[in-house]
Amino acid sequence: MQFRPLILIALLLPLLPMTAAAQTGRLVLPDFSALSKKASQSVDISLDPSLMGLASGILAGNSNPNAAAVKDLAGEVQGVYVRSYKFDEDGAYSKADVDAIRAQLVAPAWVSLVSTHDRKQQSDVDIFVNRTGDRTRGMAIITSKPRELTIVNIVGPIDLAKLGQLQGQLGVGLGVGGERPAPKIDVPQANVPKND
Amino acid sequence: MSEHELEQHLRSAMRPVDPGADFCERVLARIEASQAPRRPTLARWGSLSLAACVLAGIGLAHWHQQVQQQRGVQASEQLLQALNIVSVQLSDVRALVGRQEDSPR
Repeated sequence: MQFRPLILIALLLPLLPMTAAAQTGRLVLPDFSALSKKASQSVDISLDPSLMGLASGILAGNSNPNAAAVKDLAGEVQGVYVRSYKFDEDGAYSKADVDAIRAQLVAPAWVSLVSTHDRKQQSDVDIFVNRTGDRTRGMAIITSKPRELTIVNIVGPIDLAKLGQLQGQLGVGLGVGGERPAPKIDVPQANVPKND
Repeated sequence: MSEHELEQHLRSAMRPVDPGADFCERVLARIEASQAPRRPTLARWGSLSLAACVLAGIGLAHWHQQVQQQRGVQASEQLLQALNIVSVQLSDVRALVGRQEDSPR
């Protein structure tokens, strides 16, 4: 009988990171190394607060106005985490891979902003925001297509309207999601294969 | 002191004294000793260590700065890439919502 509290604590302990994540806007991303091996193209980005600080420093030293705009956009962002995988065939990832993320995106901390489903292309895009009062603490985007899985988690406030304005100036077309004009910021792009 | 006493004193002080049979050996031994390499003192070791530490510190700081700069460049590349991906996702959503609005109900 006296072990019951200990067992209860042991059962609840694994849920602590998820609770903390819900409060901070940070998702606990599962280990996708198995998916990464199967993927024909993959992007794995983890920018924690210290790396965001370093990136801001580099962008601040860049005289390009677009760099200033990116710095302004990401000024209050404390972390950016991206996992994106493209596959050569359908069904390379399971629903359980996505469900592990979705399980964390629960009310009241997380609110679904947009949820789209394209039956013809069998694609789903869901955008969630984490809000505490009026303050946005994070954002999550889950894109699942038959041959693509992309999960984005931005910790901290980000202005989607400003991000939309920057579209086409950031050098999209890096391999995931489509082709866009060449980059206009003098920071060398990461070595990611281009889209077919 | 009279002039005579002074003269006596001087004579006594300047009388020839035999340096001894080993005078030459003693002189040569002292010359050799003075020419032998001096062992570094503790103070000299201390100053050398301090200089080495300062140089190592400067080198380490420079290396750390280089590493941080490199990490910063990589991080800014990744930030741009991440924002690109987000903007593409938003664009897809916008296009999809636009298509759904245009489609006949």
